[in-house]
Amino acid sequence: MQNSFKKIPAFFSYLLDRTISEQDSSHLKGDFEEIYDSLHNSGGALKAHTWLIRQIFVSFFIFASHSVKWWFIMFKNYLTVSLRNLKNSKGFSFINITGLAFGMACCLFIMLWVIDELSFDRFHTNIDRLHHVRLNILYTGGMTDIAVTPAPLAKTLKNEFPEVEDSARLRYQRTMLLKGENKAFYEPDIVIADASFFSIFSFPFISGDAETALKEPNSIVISRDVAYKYFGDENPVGKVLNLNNSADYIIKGVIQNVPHNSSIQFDIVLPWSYMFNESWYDDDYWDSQFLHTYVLLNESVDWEGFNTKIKNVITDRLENRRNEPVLHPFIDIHMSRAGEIVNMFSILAVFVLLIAIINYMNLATARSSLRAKEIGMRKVIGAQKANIVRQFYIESILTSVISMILALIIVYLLMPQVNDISSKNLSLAGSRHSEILIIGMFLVALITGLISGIYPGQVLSSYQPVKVLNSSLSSGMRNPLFRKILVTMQFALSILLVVGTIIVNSQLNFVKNMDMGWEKDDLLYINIPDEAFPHYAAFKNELLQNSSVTGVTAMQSVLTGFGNTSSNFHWQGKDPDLSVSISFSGSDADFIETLGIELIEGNSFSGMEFSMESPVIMVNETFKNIISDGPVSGKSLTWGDDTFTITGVMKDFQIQSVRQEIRPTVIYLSPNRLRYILIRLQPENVSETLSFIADTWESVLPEFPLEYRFFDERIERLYRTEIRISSILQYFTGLALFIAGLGLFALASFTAQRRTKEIGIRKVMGASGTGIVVLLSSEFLKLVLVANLIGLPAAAYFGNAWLENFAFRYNIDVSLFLITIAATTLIALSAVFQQAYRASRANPVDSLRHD
Amino acid sequence: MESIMHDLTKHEELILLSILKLSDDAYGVSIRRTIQGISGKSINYGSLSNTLYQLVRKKLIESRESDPVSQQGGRRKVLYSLTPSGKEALKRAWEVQQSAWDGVVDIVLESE
Repeated sequence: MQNSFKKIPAFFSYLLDRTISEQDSSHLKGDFEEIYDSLHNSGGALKAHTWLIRQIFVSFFIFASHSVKWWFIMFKNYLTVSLRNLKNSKGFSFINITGLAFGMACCLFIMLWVIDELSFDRFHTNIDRLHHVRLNILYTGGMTDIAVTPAPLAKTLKNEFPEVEDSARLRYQRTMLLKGENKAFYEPDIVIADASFFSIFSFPFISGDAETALKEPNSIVISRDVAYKYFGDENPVGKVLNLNNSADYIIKGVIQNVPHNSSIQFDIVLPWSYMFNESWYDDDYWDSQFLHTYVLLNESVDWEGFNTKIKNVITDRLENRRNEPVLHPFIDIHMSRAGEIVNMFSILAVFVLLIAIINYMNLATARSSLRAKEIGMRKVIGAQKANIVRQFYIESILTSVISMILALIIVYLLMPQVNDISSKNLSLAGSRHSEILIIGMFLVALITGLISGIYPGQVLSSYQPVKVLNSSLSSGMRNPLFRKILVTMQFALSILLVVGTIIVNSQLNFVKNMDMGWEKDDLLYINIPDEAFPHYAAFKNELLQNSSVTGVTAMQSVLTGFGNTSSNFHWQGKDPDLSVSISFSGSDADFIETLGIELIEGNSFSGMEFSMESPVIMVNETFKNIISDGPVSGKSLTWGDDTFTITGVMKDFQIQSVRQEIRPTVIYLSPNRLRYILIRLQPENVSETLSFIADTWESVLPEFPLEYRFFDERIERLYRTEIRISSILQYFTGLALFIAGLGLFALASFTAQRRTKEIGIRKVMGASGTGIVVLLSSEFLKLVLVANLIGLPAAAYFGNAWLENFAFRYNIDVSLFLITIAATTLIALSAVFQQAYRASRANPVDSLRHD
Repeated sequence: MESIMHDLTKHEELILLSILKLSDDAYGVSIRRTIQGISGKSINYGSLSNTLYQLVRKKLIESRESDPVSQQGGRRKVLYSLTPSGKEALKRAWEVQQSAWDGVVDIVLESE
């Protein structure tokens, strides 16, 4: 009958085995084989195969739809049970979800912030080859490294080294008065740059050409906002802006506003030729550092190797000086400034998330005894351990997904505040990284769900039905210990945060109230352009007529912003190998008196006139100690080509933020180049005095608008970072304490519930209500104490490490630790107390009834 | 005997008759072949299989395993045979058929 029995190819045979339902498998398969064989013989291989594939397809389809249907039904059951559980324990579910949601929202904010920080400066096309040149100043006893470099360095590097493709210089200019189209404003964000600046860096031009915009000596480039400010929507290219009532500049280009994630910020760019307006500027002078040099290296040049090559470029051109230029990759600049904070915040985020997850695990395990019966029943009906594990994972993932959604809502609602504090422009949909972020978020939710589901999923699912259904309580003995560890860790982390907050706040207060060495209250400063300076004397005289003005002086650099340094100082008896970096500023005769600085030796400039032949100078204590052990008044001090006479020694005073040590500093009497007028007022009737000042200014200098600032505001801004850290830390601490408190509260309530029988017996035996409360509370207080023991030393360690950043710091007090212990104890008590109290009031009859 | 009698569909009727015709050799493939021979229709194996299963559930037919067959690696086929209620059902179908066609057979069959 058959020529040869055609068997179904093995692959199809396998498929058939998998997809045919179990009821009829073997004989069905046999029938299939027969049909296949007859088809093959009668109609050929193609017909047979076609029929076979169709059969497989159909049976697979049925198989798949059956599986899906059943799985769907099972999932529906899990969902129903999960939701029912959530509803039944609304209070605790709410705690759980809220805690997790806040933790996740925190994490999200941090991630957004970190992404933004990491994105700094990446928009420059040449970013991989861009470098900033810093200067290592070697002197006896050490080395200083500064960010500014001498004028000829940029072109020397470009001309003499083939590794350098291009270079550019940048200098931050002080505020200048700009006039255009009948509008006048003081512009603070002005920079001066080489024409190559825009070739090296990628600041997109809206109009004008990047390569040539700064080539002409009287050209100027402005940002879009500045253009709008003066010219509205018109294209300002070709129009004129006037600087400081002196020179006119033609707008050659308009750039997009510099994005917030650029470490170089500016609104207006002047060409380098502007520098020649300054009488002191020498394009070939190697011994003064006051500008930034940027270098674009050629492809595949190793910058570290290049650094060794250029080591002596400056030193070879100077006598008695070792100044070494060092390239640093531009991309690292922002991180070197902000890296510490970025790390800190990342760790913070992980902490808070951990606390939230720990909380969830805590709660889930605490409720385990309640679910034991359910698990027993399920196992009896036929659930495999795998099913129960799946159920718990689904439950915890469900919770975490709900939390994630809630977290998204929280992030959306709180975004404006966060942007305020961090002065950024974060948003969920903002960057192109937002897709990655969203995916990341759901991963976080998933992982959180999985991790928090591990304990309930693994341990609970292994409960044996027999034991569970017979007895009424079943939680294992290990549970309490594990849970206690969890809560203790939560509190320890919270303590870390509390102490951190207190330390930061205390340091901030300390710094703000610290003695600067000069009087900062009721002191304001005014920017005065060089062109206006000739009128200074008249202005000063007028001001002093008013008794509310107690002092007027002028300075080259404003206090808290002394940028200029020089190492070109010599004195008799100076060690020729010694090289020190000195901060300097010019001032007028009334510097000491107006600022209230103490003199420890000699005289101030008061009453003196500037004299070219015998210039005078004052040094601070630190510098004096370098010069000589004995008195230095009357001694000579050589600076470059000039010889000064030291009139006096000033007590050390702060010229910058307290993060830095006090540097050797000089103040010299100068007739010009003083750009800041400092005015001390009587504390009463300040607004009247201010309008007097404004009127006086108007009468003397009508073409220049008046802008003034008070020093205490300026000092605040100096510590802006720290203030920000402080407020963020406070939020975090509050959050962490909240979560930890909730965790403890939940734990306490379940423990109390679990121990109702025990409490009932105790009461019957004669324990008083108070005794019960004490009993329950003390257990938790022990936990808090242990948490303190762990958290406080850790906090002290980290706190000290942070304080190292400051040259001046406050002393950490023992009271700090006592306060923390007290605070945490209080919180723990309040969390525990209600439950303990309720438990103690319970009627023993109820709890012992079931025995 | 059975007060609730299931009326056979044409499809089921065909299958039961085929099983009778095949007597000892009534299994999936052969039933399918027989039906094809009687009615000319080629029904697909899946629906046949389903219907057979339903008929077993309704207790109109019963199944048993055959002895191992010489070919196909000695598989055991599942053979179907009629139950008493199956026979009853067929009898009823025949009666219905008879009374339905009574008197009009000639008209249908007469040649033009």
